[in-house]
Amino acid sequence: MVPTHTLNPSHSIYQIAHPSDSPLGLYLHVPFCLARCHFCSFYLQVYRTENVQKYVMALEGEIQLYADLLQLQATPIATIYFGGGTPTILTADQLSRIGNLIRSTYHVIPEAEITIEAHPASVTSSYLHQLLEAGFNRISFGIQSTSDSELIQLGGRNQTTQIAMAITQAQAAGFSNINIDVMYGLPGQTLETWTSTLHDILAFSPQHISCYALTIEEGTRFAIDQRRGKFKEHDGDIQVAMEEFACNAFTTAGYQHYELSNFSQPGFQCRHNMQYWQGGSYLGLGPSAQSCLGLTRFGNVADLDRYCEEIESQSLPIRNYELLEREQALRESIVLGLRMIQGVPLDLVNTIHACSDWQILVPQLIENGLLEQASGHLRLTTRGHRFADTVAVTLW
Amino acid sequence: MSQTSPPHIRNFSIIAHIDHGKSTLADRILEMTGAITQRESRAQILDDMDLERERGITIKAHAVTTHFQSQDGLTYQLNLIDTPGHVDFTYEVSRSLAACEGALLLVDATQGVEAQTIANAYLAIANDLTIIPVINKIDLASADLEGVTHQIEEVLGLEMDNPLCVSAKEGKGVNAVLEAVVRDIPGPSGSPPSPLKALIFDSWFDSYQGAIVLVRIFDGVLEPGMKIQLMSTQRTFEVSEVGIFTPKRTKTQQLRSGEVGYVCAGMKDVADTKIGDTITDASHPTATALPGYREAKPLVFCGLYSTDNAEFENLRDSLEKLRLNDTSFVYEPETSLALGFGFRCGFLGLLHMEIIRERLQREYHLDLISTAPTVIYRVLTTKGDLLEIENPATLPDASSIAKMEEPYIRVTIIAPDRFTGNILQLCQERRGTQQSLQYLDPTRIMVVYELPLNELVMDFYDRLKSRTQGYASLDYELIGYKESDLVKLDLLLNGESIDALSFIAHREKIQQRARQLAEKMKTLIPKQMFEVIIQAAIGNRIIARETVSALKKNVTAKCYGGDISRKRKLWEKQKEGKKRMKQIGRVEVPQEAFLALLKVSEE
Ligand SMILES: Nc1nc2c(ncn2[C@@H]2O[C@H](COP(=O)(O)OP(=O)(O)OP(=O)(O)O)[C@@H](O)[C@H]2O)c(=O)[nH]1
Ligand code: SF4
Ligand SMILES: [Mg+2]
Repeated sequence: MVPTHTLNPSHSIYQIAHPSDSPLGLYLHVPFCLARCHFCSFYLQVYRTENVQKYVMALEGEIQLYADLLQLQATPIATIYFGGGTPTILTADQLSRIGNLIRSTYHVIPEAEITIEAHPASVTSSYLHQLLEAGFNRISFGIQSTSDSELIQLGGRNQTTQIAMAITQAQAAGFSNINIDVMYGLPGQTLETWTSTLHDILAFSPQHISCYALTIEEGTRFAIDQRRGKFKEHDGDIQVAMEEFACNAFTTAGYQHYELSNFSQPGFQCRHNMQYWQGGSYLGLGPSAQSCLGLTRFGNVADLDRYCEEIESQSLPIRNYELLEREQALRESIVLGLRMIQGVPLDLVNTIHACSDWQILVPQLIENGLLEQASGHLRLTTRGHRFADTVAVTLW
Repeated sequence: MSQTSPPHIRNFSIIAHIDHGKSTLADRILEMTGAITQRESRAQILDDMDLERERGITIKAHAVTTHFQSQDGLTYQLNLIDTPGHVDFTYEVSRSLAACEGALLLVDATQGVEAQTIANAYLAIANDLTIIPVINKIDLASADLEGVTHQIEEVLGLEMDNPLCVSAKEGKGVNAVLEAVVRDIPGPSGSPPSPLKALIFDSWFDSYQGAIVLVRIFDGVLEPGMKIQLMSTQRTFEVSEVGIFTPKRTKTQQLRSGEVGYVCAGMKDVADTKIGDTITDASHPTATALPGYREAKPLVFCGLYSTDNAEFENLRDSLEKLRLNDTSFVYEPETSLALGFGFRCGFLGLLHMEIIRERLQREYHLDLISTAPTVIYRVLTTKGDLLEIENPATLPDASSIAKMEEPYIRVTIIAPDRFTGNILQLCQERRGTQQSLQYLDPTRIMVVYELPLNELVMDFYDRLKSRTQGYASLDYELIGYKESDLVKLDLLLNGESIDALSFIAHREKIQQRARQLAEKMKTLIPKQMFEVIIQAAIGNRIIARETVSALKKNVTAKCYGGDISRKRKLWEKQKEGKKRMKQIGRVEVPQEAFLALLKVSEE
C-alpha cells in the first residue's frame, strides 16, 4: 500500500514509468453530468459550477504533481482521452487551459490522438470549433439509440434531433474522427428498432462505432428496476441476434471489427483504448481514474472532495495500489489482448504457455471451439467472441 | 492433593436438554469453589473447542475436579462432569453417568421439561443414580417455577418438595445446590486396598504423550510407575503420569478409589483406549471387569470427497487424526465414478456429521464435497445373502433383491399443544405411526411416533422447527429394522448416471422426491456452454426431467481502464469458484448440488 500523504510513493511509481520509452496514454476523468443515465455506474456528480472550478484546479495540481514525480517530460504521450462523466460540461476555455498545461509539462507527440467524450445536447457549433482549436482531434458521442422512446427509458438525456445536429455540426466544424456509442438489449428495444438505430448511425458515416450490450451494473436505476421486476433483460437469443445483426451491418458498410465491441473505418481504431487491451501503460487523472504503469496498478479515490483535499496537500490521491508479478501482468495483458479481434501474437502467448496450466487449457479451449490460431496469433473464434469472459476465467 | 477419603468425594454429572444452562452452572460452581478466579473466568469455560465456543453448545463431556467447603464443616472433593445436551451426543451422557453416583438434572424455568430432559433423566434412572432436579434461569421474567415444578413431578416422577431454584447466570442458589449434592448424593463405595478397577470413560490424543485416558477409579489406587493392564485386550502399559483437571490439567501423586482423573501410559493405538474398558493392576488383576457400555454405533452415513482428488491422502490423514479423539465416527475408503476417491463416513447423527465436516474444512483446510446423508439399509438377496447398504449406489439391481429393511426410530416430540395438528401431519407425511399422545400440562403435549430413520435424516428437524416456530424439542432412539418397500433413484446429467446422487426412498415417496430433486438441481447447476439435461430414473425408467438451457453469452461489453481491475478481481473469484466445481463428464457441478436432496422444499 502506498501512503498517500508523503511523496515517497513516487519512488515505486517512478521506477516503473521509466522501464522503456514506450508511449504513455493519458486519461482524464471529468466526473460531472447533468443527470445520471439509468444504466450508468461511473463515478460522477450532478453538475455544480463551484465544484467544477474546484475540480479543474485540483486536476491541474495533479498534472503538475505527476510531472514532477514521474519526470514525464521525457515520456512520449501518444494519446489523451477526456472521459467521464461529461467532459463537454467544462467550458472550452477550461479545456484548453488543461490541454495547454499538459502540452507544456508533458511530452505530447505531435501526431497524438486527443479524444473528448461529448454529450450531443451540450455542444454548439462554436463550442465544437473551440474544441478543435484546443487541440482535440477526435470526438466521441454517447448516443446509445436513435429511438426517442428508448432514449427516454435511458434517462432522457438525448433526443434524436439533438443527436443529428451535434454530429453534423461536428463534421462541419472539421472533426474527421468521430465515434458513436450505441447499445443493444435496451428496455423496449426490438430487432426492428435496433435495425433502424443502426441504419441511422451508419447514415452519418462515423469513423468509429462502439457497440455495447446493455449491462446491468449494481447501483444503477436499471438494477433497481430489475430487482423490482419492472424490467427483464432480453433473453440471450435476442441479444445474440442483435449483436450478429449489428456486426453484419457494420462490416458490410466497410467497418473493421477490431475489438469485441468496437468497429472502425480502416486506420481509425482508437489508439488510446488499444493501450488498455495491448498491455500499454496509461496514467489516469481525476477522481476514480485508474492507472497502469508497467507492473503497477492503482486508482484514484472515487470522491471529489477527498481528491481535491489530497491534491491540495501535495499528495497523490491513490487507492488500491498493487504491484503485479511479471507472470500475472503477462496473463492480464494476454487475456485483455484476446479482446482484440486479431488476437495476441503467439510469441507472447508462448512465454507463459511453456511452463504453466496453459499447456493444457489453451488446447482445450481450441478444442471447444472458443480459441483458434491464425496468422501467428491466438484469437477468439467467432463463437468465442460471445464467451470472452469464459475464456478469461479459464486462463486466469 | 487427593487425601480426602472416599466418603468425602462426590461424583456427579450435570445433565439437561440443550441450552438449559449446564455449562453455565459448571462455570459458577468452579468459580464459587475457587477452581477458577473471576479473572480467568469466561462463559462456558469447559467448552474449550473452537466449534463449541462458536456454536455455544457442548459437544464433548468435560470432567473437572474442585473442592467444596460444606456447612457441615467438611471439605468435599467434587468431580463434576458437564455433558452435552444434543441428542447426537447422548452417548457422551451415558458414559459420563457410568462414572458417577449422582446427577444434577437441570430444567430451564422458561422452557420446562423437554425431549432430552426426559431422555437424560431416564438414562440416570437406568444407571441407578441419585437425581437432583434443579430449576434454572429463574432470573428471567418468563420463568414459570410452579408449572415447571409440576412438570418435573408429573412427567419424571421426581419428588419436588423443596425445589432447588437457581440462576446459573447470576450464581443465585448455586450454594444450595452444592449442599444438596454433598447431602443427597452418596459417596463412592469401593476401597483403596482392593485390586485396581478403573473405568475408561473418555480418551483423546496428545501429540506429546499419546493417549490421555479419563478414568473413574472404582477400587484400588493408580499411580505412576505401576504396570496396568487393559482387560479387553490384555495389553499392559506402564503409567507415566496421573492427575486431575482443575480445570487445568494438574499432575497428582495418585488416583484413589472413588476419584476421577486422567492417566497417561504411553498408549499409542486407538484400540488400546477403548471407552468402557476396565483398567486393572497387571500384577494383582481384579477378577471381573466393569460392565462398560454398548459402543456408540453410527446411524447416519455420507460420502466425503475432496474437491481436488490430489488431496485424498490428506483427507485420509485428517480423518485418522479426528478419529483419535472421536471413536464414535467411522470411515472407510470408497470410490465414486463421479467424485473419485473418497470415504464413506458414519456419524451418530446429523449434527455430528456437520461438526466433523466443519472441522475437516476448518482445521485441516480441506475443500469437501459431501453426499446426502443416508442410513444403513438391509438387503436380503435372492441368493440368500444379507447385505448392509451404507451407500445407495451400491444397492444391487432390483431383480436380485428378495426383500429390504430399513432402520426405525422412536421419536419423542414435546411442544405447545397449539402445534399438535402440524406435528401429527408432519409425522404422518414422514410415514410415522403414532404410539402415544399425552398432555404434560394443560398446554404442552408429548407425542411418540415410530418413524423410519431415513425420514428423519431428510430434513425432518428443520421442518419440525418451522412448523412449530422453533418450540418443539425432539429426541429419538433406534428401535430396530422393519421390512419396507424401498427403491433406488438415480440421477443422470446429460444421460450419465451420477452415482454420488443416487438415493433410496420408499416407493410411495419416490415420484415426489424425484421431481423435487430434479427441480432443485436445475436451480443449482449453473448454465454451461451447452444444454444440461437432468433426469431422475428408477432403473431404466425416467420419472422426472428438467433442462438447464445453454449459456448464450458471457462477455464484458465495456472493458477500459476503469473496468480492468474490477474484472481482474471478478475473474479471480470465478476461477476460485470453478476450482470448487466438480467436472462430471463435461458438466460442471457445484458442491452444493450434491446435497440438493436435503434442500428440496416441501412447503
Ligand atoms: N438468563 C439466564 N440465562 C442463562 C442461565 N443459565 C444459562 N443461561 C444462558 O443459556 C444459554 C445456554 O447456556 P449453556 O450453559 O451453554 O447451556 P448448556 O446446557 O451447557 O447447553 P449445551 O451444552 O449445548 O446442551 C447461554 O446463552 C447462557 O448464557 C440463567 O440462569 N439465566
Ligand atoms: S452521460 Fe455518460 S457518464 Fe453521464 S450519466 Fe450518462 S452515461 Fe453516465
Ligand atoms: Mg454445555
